Amino acid sequence: MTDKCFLNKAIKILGHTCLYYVAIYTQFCNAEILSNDLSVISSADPQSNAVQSFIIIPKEKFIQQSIKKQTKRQIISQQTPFVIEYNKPLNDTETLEWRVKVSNKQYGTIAALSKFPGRGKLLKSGFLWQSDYLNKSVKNRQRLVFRPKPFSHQPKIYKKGRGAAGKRRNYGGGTMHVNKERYNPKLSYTINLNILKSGSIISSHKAILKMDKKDMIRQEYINHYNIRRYGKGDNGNIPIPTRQEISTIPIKPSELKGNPLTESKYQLIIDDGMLDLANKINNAYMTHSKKLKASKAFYDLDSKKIFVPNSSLWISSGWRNPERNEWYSNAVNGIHQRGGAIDFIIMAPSNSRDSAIAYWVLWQALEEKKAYINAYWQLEKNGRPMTTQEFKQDIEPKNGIPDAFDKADHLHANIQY
Amino acid sequence: MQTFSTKLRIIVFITAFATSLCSSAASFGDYFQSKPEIDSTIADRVTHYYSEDVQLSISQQQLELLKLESQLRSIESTHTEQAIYWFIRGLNDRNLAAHYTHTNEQKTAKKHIENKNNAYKKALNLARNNPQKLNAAMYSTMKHGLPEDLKIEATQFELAQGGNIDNDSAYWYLHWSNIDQLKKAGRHEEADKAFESMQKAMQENNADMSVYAELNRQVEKQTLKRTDKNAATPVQKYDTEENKLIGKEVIMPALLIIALLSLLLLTIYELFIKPKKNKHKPN
Repeated sequence: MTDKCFLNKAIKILGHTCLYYVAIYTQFCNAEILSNDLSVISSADPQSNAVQSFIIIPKEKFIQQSIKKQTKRQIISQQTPFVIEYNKPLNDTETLEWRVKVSNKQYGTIAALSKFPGRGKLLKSGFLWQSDYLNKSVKNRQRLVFRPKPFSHQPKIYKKGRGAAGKRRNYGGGTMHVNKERYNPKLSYTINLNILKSGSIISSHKAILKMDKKDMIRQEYINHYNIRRYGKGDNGNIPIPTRQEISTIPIKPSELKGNPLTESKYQLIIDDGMLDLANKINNAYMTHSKKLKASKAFYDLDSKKIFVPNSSLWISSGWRNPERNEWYSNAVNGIHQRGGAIDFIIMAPSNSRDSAIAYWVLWQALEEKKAYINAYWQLEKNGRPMTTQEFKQDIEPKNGIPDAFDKADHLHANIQY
Repeated sequence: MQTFSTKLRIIVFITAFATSLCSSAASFGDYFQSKPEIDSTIADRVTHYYSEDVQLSISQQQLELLKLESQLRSIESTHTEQAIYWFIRGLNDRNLAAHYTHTNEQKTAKKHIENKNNAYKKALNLARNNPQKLNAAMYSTMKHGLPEDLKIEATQFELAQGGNIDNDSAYWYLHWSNIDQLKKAGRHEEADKAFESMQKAMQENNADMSVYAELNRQVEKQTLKRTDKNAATPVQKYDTEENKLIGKEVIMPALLIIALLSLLLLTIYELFIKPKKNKHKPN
């Protein structure tokens, strides 16, 4: 009996300990402060709700922040430097040695703002910045201030179609995806502090700063800000989202078929009314389709009766992180990046008669519910909207259906910004 | 003074005309992601008409399109072996057909549709041995309105180049389109192979089958099974959905009417004819 009690107690203690560490780890997963004597300020911007957050804004660059329609726009510039402070009082005989190790040497130099004598070394594992031994004469030696040196980001130019090996090119961009070229950094810094007395280390302290998924998403927006795709066309001017604007992916209702609301690998999303819009469009389409089927009074341009197919709508694209958008689309400022746009395909063989009729039904449904849907939409083919003429003419093919519906490969809709 | 005013008018007209053309955002290269291999201003102007809402008056449009046609004809002899040339030529004929449809000149429109199809046929013929001569965007543009066999060919060349749209869903729907067209043309073995290659491509591209399982089922159900049944009756190869509805709307009511008529005839027989017959029978 006593043995059983002891065992229960042991299990409870073990469980609580595990929970405690899980909670601690979750809370500080971006800045693992592995010493009670260190405090870390790594906030990249005042909007950030996590002291752990950091993003890298190139020098002298001013970027708009807050991506959603309703949120107030702010301008952010170079981020607050990282500040790591040793909290305990030091004796005059004690010296300090700071080290900053950068995990990704491709992006890895830092600018130490503390006026400490120091030196940088490129080690095999990455970049290491190391201070000299700092004695009592060095002012503010307990506080290390540094900033990542901005790097130049060149957006990847994704080629379409098949590669040299004849294999269809896969989406290769985005920090969270396989990304051999490392066009987006996933930065982290390990800070070590050694306290020495008479040349011997008497205590060591460690903190790890690293980008979390929200930081990585925000960094993607920064990297694509003010950059022209293929060096021409419009400059990218999509603002960067705040951390609060990035959320977990909402559950997609079962009646919405097709892809998830985002195909990005972050398991996070920016939804600026996209899901609501998708539901409204799907409802309008289903209702109108049922109505036409029941009335049996749907006629083509030659006044011949058309039979409405049972094709559902299929979500083909929702929120895209900028790297993914670069792969998908020529629109550098595409609204998909703001979480306000949704694309639908008709669930039928593309450019078939069923698909053309269903696009026509969808178009009518949207026109009928214009006020309720309150959005902008267009039918697209090869990434361009169908022309006014294509809605009126019937030549490709001549089948009683306006060409716009025969040719369309998807419907794009977005909330009005 | 009058001469100066006329000159000024001409300059203003030309400037307005040129501005309206130059405002075009999509050049041939931007839109089709390829070099035109002919005078790029001609190719850009043809593309502009194809892809955007043109802001010119009807007569200005006609003038411009006919001018383009004449320019294209004038370089035909030096470009006759170039698939891209015939593609652009076909595109201009499409623009002309659209224009004459708009002005309700059906005969001329029809002539240009035929010209367009012939030009596209030439482009496909020239590209047949080396499909890379044209790209997916061009095949995708050409396929609408072509005869069924050529449409299949254009779709297959488009597929072979990885599809025109990098949207994954659209790529799989293009596969479905290819299978569907093959089945409708009665080319069942090729369709079955195309379905196999679609599934293979899905595996190679690590397509998320939790998303695409339903699409796969639909392709199998609507295309393979459906058209197998229809294989012997090519008349019915178009749109089974419509056939189903014809069944519901025509055959069912017809059967019902026949049944009712039979019932009526039987009642008449029982009430009027049978008693009379019985009357004449000797007891």
